[in-house]
Parts: sequence; structure tokens; C-alpha cells
Amino acid sequence: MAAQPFVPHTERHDLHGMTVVVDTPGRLYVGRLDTADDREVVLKDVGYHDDEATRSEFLSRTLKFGVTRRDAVVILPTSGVRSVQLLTALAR
Amino acid sequence: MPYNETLVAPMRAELTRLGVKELRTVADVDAVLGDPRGVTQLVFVNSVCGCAAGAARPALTLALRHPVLPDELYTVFAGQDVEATARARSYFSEYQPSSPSIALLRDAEVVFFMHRHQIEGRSPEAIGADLKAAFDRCCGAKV
Repeated sequence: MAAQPFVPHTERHDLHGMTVVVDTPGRLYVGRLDTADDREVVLKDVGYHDDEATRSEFLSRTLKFGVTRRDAVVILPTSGVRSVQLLTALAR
Repeated sequence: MPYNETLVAPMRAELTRLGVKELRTVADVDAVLGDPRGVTQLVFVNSVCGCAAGAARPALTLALRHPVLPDELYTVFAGQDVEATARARSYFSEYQPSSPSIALLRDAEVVFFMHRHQIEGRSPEAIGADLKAAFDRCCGAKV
């Protein structure tokens, strides 16, 4: 049988527990996705970056050294979220 | 707050039965990581989460069958042995805390680090392959 990736919590959002990058106007967040629905996006163990000009460097550093945790929980209104993607997708 | 030890005992045993030594106190950590002796040391940051149970611990089990291995194998348990884990992480230089995670040190310097984000959603076989490649790069005989 082919190796299967471990996917925990199948009753939750597909990206639950995964480290994601959330793009919002003015701030880029990186953290573990807890929930995401049409109302809000909830992240845990969150780092963030405010300078759009240096986002690429911030993400490169995060991929190499990990998330610098600045907030335990961040709740964002979904209406203000431009995108949610896996951090590791940016390494490809 | 740490989980009841009865619950986490199997999570510890899954590693200790492989020969991985637990570092449960600050003194334990300093005795090995604070004493660079030209050896390679693997430190597995264990945790109660699904990524450790379903991916990281099985991956290490697979990787430890490789013919090239670190000289010393250690584990700390995030959320359980809190002070020991914090102390171990202090040896990881700029690498940020996450769990599970795996650090490979040589002469007290981090030469390989696998973060939680490099473990989540991946199979034990894929993670184990990355570890074996790191062992080949970092643990072979010095030229």
C-alpha cells in the first residue's frame, strides 16, 4: 500500500493544524490554522510581518528558522483575508 | 498544563525503546548539549499532538534503521518536561520553537533542523527519508 500522509482531525477544516500564511492588507500572518469559515479565520502561535517590501525575506527566514511566535491566538474576519496558503507551498 | 503521565508514558516509550534517551531536567540537558565533544546529537522534541504520533515518531523509528546515525540520540517532551524543553531549545540558536521538531547538532551547532511545518501533513516515510539524508550529510566521518 502506498504511503499515506497523516491527516489528523478529518472532521475539521482541511488545513486545521497546518502552518499557513494569511495575507491581509498591511499584515502577513503565519501560524497554525485552527478554524476558517465564512466569518473568521483563527490562527494559533502566530507570527506576523508588516512591511510589504520585505515579505519575501520574512517568509524565507520563516521557512528556514520557523515561526517567531508573537501572539498565542489571532482571530481575523474572513472579509479581510486575501488568501490562506500553506507555508510549505511557498518553498516549492 | 502537562497531561497525566499515564497518558503520555506510551509516547515516551515509543522513543526510549529505540534507544533515545530522555532529557527530563535542565541538568540532563546541560550535561549533554552543554558539553560539545565533537559528536553529533539528535534532539527530538516530542509532543502529544497528532503530528508527533502519526508522523514524527514513526518517521524517527524508520530513520533509526539507517546505517549512518547520529552519535547520540535524545528527546525532550514539549508541554510535559517544560523546563528541560526550554533549555534544550536554548541550544538551537535562531531556530524557533515548534513541536514536534527535530534538531541535529554537531559540536553544539545546529546542522539540520526539521520544524513542525516540515512534518505536518507528510508521511512518516517522506519525513524519515529527509532524516536519513540529513544523517548522511551530517553524521558521516569528517573529512
